[in-house]
Amino acid sequence: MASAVNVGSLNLPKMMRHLSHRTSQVRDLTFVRNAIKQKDVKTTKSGGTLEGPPVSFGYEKSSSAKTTGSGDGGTLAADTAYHIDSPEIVIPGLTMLQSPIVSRRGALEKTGHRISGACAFHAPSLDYIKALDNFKDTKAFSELETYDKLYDMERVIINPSNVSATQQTTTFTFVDATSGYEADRVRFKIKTTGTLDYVQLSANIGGSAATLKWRDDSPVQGLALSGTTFTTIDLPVSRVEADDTASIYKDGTRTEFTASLTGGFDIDKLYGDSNNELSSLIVQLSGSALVELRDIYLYKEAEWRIQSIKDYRDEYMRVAAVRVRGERASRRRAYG
Amino acid sequence: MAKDFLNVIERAMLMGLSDKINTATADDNDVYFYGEFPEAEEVKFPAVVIQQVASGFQEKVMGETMTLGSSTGKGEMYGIAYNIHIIIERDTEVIVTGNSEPYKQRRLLNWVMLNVANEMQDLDFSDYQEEEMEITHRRLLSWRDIGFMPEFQWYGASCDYTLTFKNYRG
Repeated sequence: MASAVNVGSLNLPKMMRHLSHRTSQVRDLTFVRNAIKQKDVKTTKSGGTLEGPPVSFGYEKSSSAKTTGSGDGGTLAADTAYHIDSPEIVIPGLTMLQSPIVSRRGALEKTGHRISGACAFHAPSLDYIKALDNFKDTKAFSELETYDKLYDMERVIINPSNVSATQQTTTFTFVDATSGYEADRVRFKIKTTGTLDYVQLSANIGGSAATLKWRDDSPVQGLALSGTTFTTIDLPVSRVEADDTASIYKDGTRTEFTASLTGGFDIDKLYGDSNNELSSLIVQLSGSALVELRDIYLYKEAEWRIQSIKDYRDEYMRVAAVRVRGERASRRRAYG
Repeated sequence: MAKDFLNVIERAMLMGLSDKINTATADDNDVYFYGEFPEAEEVKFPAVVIQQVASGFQEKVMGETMTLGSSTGKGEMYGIAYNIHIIIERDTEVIVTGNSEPYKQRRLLNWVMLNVANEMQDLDFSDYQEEEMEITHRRLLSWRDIGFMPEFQWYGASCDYTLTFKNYRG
């Protein structure tokens, strides 16, 4: 964090540090912005090129990659080209003061039961946020926008002890009959001179082994980490299907991790008996190295969507957010 | 292959209208067509938004059998209703072919209204369709809400357009 950033007369970051010792209303959030996908564009008709500009149908395709030059058999005009690849942004480590922490309103509606809620976050000034680790290096982040998401740890489900050792495999083994159906994501801070190979959650479903493994499948596998500063890893563990992808940002650079599943891994089925349980969390490096892991959480997430932003410049921002997703844990355990 | 007439018609209509209207304007004097209200970052004027507002079965046919090209199979008549909106920013200029003076404001709005209406009646979908289909009826109702929005500095107009096609299911 650059010390030259003006923190305003209130000095909200300092206030939050003090408050965090007394109240859990100071939250450690993960900032998430969805990928900006290409739109479906056509430039040709049967036997020729369309007059005028390329016709954009408005709906998205599946890729966020940059498009320039030719496309759809013709040449895309500058106004429909994508200047740069815009994948999702996932940056943990954004601290805000939240009130209230849990806001949950349930309504039984025609289409089922819906959980909603609303809260306000008080955030440090934009200049301060843009000087934070990862935020300062991620050029795609310029400001908070409406419809950006903030993932909060609504409830910690499992919190293994910190580890400091020289080894390749770090395994956190859970006690017998540990349930997992409440967990949505796993987050930990890691400092190592080694390279992160994969993160694996192991379970038993119906007495058989099942695993969820997040791994960098690019040609140069693995994410080289820092031996001097902690990198925060935050990955989803619920509703994950094979070949789903997740992003890990380090120093503003995104590494894409891909999910692979064995044994039909489904965390909702881990209702917590000896045959349907979470067994372990494995953090695997590509070779033996000094590794420190801390603040390890399997947690139930609360997904907040930014609805309005009031910026008081040097002082702070007031961010109103709504929660439109949520489920009843009882139903998730029964048939989720 | 599952039938996809709603998308085929919408895409053909957008391509066809854009192609025909922009043939009648000078180079780099484009009219932009959108299948939904565009995002602020991508909107360009004059904008024509074709918004589907309803669709459903229109009419059953005797024996529930119809032909599409050389094929015969089950199907019925299916209708779609669109709202078409024209939005023109106050300073937008378009040179219509054959004129040296650019069209602006109400003059441009009048020209776009009439030419969109004409092309909606005359459009040959076969040049633009990505799958065989047959439109049997189309009707553009009168333009309405023609006017100027001072808050946005926009000229605009809207109309309803209905279309019926053969929902051939093989």
